[in-house]
Amino acid sequence: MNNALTIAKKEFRDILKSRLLLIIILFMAVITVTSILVSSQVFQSQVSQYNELLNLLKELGKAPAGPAPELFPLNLLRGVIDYIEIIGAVLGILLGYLTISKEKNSKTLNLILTRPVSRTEIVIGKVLGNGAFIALTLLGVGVFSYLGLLVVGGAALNQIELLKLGLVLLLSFAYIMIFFSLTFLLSLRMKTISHALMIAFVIWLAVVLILPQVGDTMDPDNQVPGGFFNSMHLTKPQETQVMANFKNYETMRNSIEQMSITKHYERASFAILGIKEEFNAVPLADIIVRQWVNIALVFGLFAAGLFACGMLMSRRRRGYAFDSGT
Amino acid sequence: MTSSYVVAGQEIRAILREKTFILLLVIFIGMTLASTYIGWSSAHTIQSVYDATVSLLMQQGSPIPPPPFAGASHLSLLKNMVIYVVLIGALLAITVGYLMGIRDRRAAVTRIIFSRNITKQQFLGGKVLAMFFALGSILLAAAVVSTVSSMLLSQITFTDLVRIASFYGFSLVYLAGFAFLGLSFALTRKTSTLALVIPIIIWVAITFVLPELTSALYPTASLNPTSLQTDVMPSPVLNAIHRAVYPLSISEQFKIVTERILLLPHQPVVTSGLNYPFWLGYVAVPIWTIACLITSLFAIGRLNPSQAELNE
Repeated sequence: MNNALTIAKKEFRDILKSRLLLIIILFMAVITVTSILVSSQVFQSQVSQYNELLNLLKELGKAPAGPAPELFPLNLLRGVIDYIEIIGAVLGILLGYLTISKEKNSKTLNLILTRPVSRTEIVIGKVLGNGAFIALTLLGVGVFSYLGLLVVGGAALNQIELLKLGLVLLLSFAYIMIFFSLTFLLSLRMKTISHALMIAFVIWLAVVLILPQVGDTMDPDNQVPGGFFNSMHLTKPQETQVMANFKNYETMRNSIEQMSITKHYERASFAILGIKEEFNAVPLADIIVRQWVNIALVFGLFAAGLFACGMLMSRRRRGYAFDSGT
Repeated sequence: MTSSYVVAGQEIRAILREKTFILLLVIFIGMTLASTYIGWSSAHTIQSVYDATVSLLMQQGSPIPPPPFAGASHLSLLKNMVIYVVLIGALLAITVGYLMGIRDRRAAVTRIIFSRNITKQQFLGGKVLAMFFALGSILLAAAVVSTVSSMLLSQITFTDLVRIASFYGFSLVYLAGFAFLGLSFALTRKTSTLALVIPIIIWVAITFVLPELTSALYPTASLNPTSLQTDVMPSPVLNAIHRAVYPLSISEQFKIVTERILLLPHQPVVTSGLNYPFWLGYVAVPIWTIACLITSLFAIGRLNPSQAELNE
């Protein structure tokens, strides 16, 4: 176990020295704050519009028909979750690639294996080192989110909200580690290591962007700017009644979305943070019960990825295919 | 000029042997085909949903609004292509530029190439020619797929054909910018990873971050081909950002222009004060491409053939 910790420390130090990862971390910090700034400005606009309307109604001697906009601070993190889906996955891919490519390029993996270090310890060390870095990055995102909500959004989080934020960050950790393990596996398997990076990006494109986009595009409500059901002035029960006639279509659309792990991560995160409005008033335990499939799939795939990395590494009898990274 | 043609010919042959390029190409053409079907299926379903809504409202004795999608263009079947050019097309273009820039450095042949009778400008000219040939061929193939699939599922007029051709022509201008970006970083960065990842980060910023800043669009909402109505008017901060950054939001400018070309409905951002003219995108996108070409010229100028080899 000491060997694994030594490898983990070395991994962590190597990552901190990497300019590329520094660029990504800075980028994530900037977009986290940007996203909270935009969301809070949109919310403040809604409040000021509501107040203007309220004053107008008062002047006319009428009472307001709708409720005042209510701030649920965690709702302002929608953009942050979107960015973790996209950039977080890129971070996982790069870490998975770099951890193997540096060993292959400098031909050090076989050298390590001549020492009293088992293959399992190498995998554990690499996963621990990179995992620690991802956890630290997400902790940074959490701190930036907390401060952003406080300073830019003017909203302090209570204990339950902090717990929800923590849970989403934990889920984000598992989500990013899925992409880490995928690229780790590809980099170990492929003879030409740069192909592993390209293929990981192609998978990322399909899973993170294309599949959710196709599902979203097929949603009948998304066919009209502003929403089809909104334009038809339908209530939610009426909408449900209409869509009951299109169960097969909706099942197909949902199946396309469910092929993407990103969508499972998004559904669980949006529910926990209350970005999906129906979950705002639901206790956290009930949200977890209702979202357990999505949560289990993210953690399940994360565990399967790690297991596959360990199995692949320990089964390789000969040395690694050393190429020039071309 | 002959030297440029030789470089271009070599680049085209090399890129056709690249598995990653072929994989992305297959995805792009596959999604082009799928986009027409998805457009047709969505249009067919929304009509059925409207009919079911009308029937329900009639039963309840409520007033029936007119269909909100009445008067949609035949070309609305292709609305997803606008997004696929922005997503897959741009990544494909980055890959093309990157592969063309990095190949000689990886093979450690830059020194040999420049020991021959070829200038840096001729070398870059050859790469640019090959890039336009590769991207042009891909978009031509996509245009053929879009036209044939649209003809099978809808009535297409001659004007529609011209619009499809214009859409893909404008897409070539947009994508060329990303290809130049891929090429520039591939020629100058010290590692191949950095050379690939920096253009991808720039692409993420252009595709997701700038639209959020300028139009308050959530990153994943940028992937919806039906443009959303956003309103930044009541917020002085968002208004100020919109005014300053909107012309630089290239992916939004591309979407606005192509939505006009394909006669798709467009929802302009509601702002106070300055409203940018509709033709902004027609100017902003070519300027973006020219700026990226200039970046490539600087990159080739900085390339030191004796130190360009990648030791990875």
